[in-house]
Amino acid sequence: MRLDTRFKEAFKVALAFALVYGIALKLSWLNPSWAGFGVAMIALQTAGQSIHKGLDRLAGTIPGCIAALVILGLAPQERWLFMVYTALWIFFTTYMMIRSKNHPYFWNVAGFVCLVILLTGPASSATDFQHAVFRTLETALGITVYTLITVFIWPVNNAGAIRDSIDKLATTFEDRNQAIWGVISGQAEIAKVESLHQQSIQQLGQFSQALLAEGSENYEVHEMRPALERVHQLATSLMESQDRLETSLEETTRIDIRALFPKLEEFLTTQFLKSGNPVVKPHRIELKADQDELSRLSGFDTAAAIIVEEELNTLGSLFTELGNHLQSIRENTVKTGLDVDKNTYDSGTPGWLPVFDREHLMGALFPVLCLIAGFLIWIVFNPPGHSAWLELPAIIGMTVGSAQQTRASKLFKPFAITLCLALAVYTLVLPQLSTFVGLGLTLFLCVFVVRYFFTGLTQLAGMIAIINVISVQNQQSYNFAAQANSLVFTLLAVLFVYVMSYLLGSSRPEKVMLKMTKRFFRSAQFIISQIAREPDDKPGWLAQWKLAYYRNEMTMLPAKIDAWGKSIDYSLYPDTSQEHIGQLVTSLQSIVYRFEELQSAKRSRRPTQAPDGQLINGLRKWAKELEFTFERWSERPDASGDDHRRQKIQAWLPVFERRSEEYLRIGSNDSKDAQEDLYLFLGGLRGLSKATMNYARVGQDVDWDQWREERFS
Amino acid sequence: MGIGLLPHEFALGGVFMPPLFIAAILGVLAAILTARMLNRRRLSNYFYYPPLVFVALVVIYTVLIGTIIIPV
Repeated sequence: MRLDTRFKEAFKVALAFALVYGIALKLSWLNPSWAGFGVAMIALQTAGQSIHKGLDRLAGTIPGCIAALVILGLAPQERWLFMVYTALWIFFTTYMMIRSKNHPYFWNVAGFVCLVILLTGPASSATDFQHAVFRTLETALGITVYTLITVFIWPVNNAGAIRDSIDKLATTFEDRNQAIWGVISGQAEIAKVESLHQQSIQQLGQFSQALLAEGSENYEVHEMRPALERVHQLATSLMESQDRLETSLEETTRIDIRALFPKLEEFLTTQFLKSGNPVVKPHRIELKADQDELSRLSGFDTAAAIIVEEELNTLGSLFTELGNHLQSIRENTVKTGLDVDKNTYDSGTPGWLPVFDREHLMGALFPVLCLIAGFLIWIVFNPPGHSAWLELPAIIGMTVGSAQQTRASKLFKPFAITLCLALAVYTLVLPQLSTFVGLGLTLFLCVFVVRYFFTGLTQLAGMIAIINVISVQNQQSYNFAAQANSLVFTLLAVLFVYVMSYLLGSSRPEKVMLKMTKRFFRSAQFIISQIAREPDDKPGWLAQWKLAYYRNEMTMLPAKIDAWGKSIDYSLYPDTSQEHIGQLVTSLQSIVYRFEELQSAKRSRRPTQAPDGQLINGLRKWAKELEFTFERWSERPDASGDDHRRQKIQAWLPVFERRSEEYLRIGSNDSKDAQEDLYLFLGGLRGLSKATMNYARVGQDVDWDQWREERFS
Repeated sequence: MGIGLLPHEFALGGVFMPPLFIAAILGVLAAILTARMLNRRRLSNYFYYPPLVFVALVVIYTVLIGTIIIPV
């Protein structure tokens, strides 16, 4: 009989669960449910993923225990100091959990284990220490038993997962180059390029996960980790370079790109990364613009062509480097201990200026607020749950704070159903059992049912319900009132966190997107105001910090808006579709790229002299117009009320181009490099204007008024 | 006051629940139905902050049910 994967996974988890309880009860360890938690939390699809999560759990338990013992040592009898220290630890671990790309679970465990140890009825320092040690021991037991079962019984591993994900990524990059050529030659639609962009983002994420999972179960992969991380870094840079190239090509509608770059077709269609393709060894094609064609172009078109040339050559270098790297990995000739260069974008501000991310800060503050409010509820009202009000709301708050798109209301129903079922088993089944055979079978069946029939949040809630409600101790006694109170407390805690989640802001994704779009334009307004400042007006350190902060905001917001856009229920908004949101995000990203180009051009050269100062005045007026436009959009992102301003910018552009051409003709005695820098700067300004007008056009497709409407959510 | 209007616990399989609890559950359900109806008719647009309105509706319905249907 062929058994499906879900059956096998459910069987393995249930078996591990029953075994850890058996071992812990046999050895009379303190709290067998901690071992059960160890199994429940690390059980994932493949051995590598489980091992990775298990190691994170084990490693995270240790700092959590140490933090709890330190807090108890520093503030044994001062409740407010105790709260302050605990709040600081929870803030720190939640912030690190949100920021960490590879080990968020480590920080999550460090946070909640501290709370668990703080509340396990400390009667003396010896008891605290004993609890901390048993917590670590039983966590290790759960991880070890599950790891052994998952390795020896129906093992599912990640062998080849990294190779597969790299192959898929390489194919996507090659296809995207082909698609870009298709758009240039008029044979393909831009939608194909955009869908390949989304595909490359997903595949990069899968590559990261495969690296973590296979790296945990394969020693060779673990040894080559620095080289594979370099591949990930190069792949990310390559994806961004393709993004920039697409947006740069929008500036070249007046140019015959194919005549300007005769080797462009060969360049885009013969860059290979996969082995087995015709050109196995990556080779670099140097792309240079045809000088005769270039000389025929106007100043701005020259600037656009230079930007495209630079971007194409960057793309070529990245393809070559990534191809060489993959070749050496396949041939096993890569040097170990490679230094992975940090890919930094030179923002032009001192590197010591720290900037914070607002969403990360809010996410880290949320469990702290839940912790403090829970503590106050406990000491003032002492409702069912008692001291657990310090623990459970903060633990749920850590999860909600780190994944703010997860609505806390969705937790209520799964917990309600599974807790009631677990209480029924506790009341009706457990008192009938007298040996471990019966208990083990009951635990096995309960876990099997939860893992086989439920998924997602319901499955997680089911495991927690089994561990907490069907609580098994060596000196077993049954207290229905205590368990019923525990059920009421858990549901109240979930409701409490749901109510507190309104402190994070509206839970409606469209409202969040509206706020983020306004923040985006507020950042753009500040940055453009800095560009428009007088040359002699040097910014102080506060202005520099604000510039770095707003620049970081602008860079991060399009991806966040895209993530929230995926949570919108489009059936409620028939006038807005997911494609509209995709175009909106692309237009915002395009504005970011234009700002980056302008910043890098600005640092090299600014026009400081004009025959009569008209050009400089014109530039400042232009910057002021854009600043005003961004300010308007920071209050109302819909462009429908701003046709007048858009027309003004549109009318001003040809005047700006004419004046700039005149200046460039007069300034033609400058060196070629200086002229090129000037083209880039003025071209950057024009590119930003065009990206702004593109947003104005795209923004009209979104029904912002309907998003502003209040509704019960 | 008649015997039928005296507050009394609700028994479910030997588990006793206070009448206010039942009234509150019914109040929440009624408020959810009201909220859905208001959303469908786009009348919720007239509220400044719907979550608080929802809490108010729960309280109102709980008091009404507790007064008229289930004596608390």
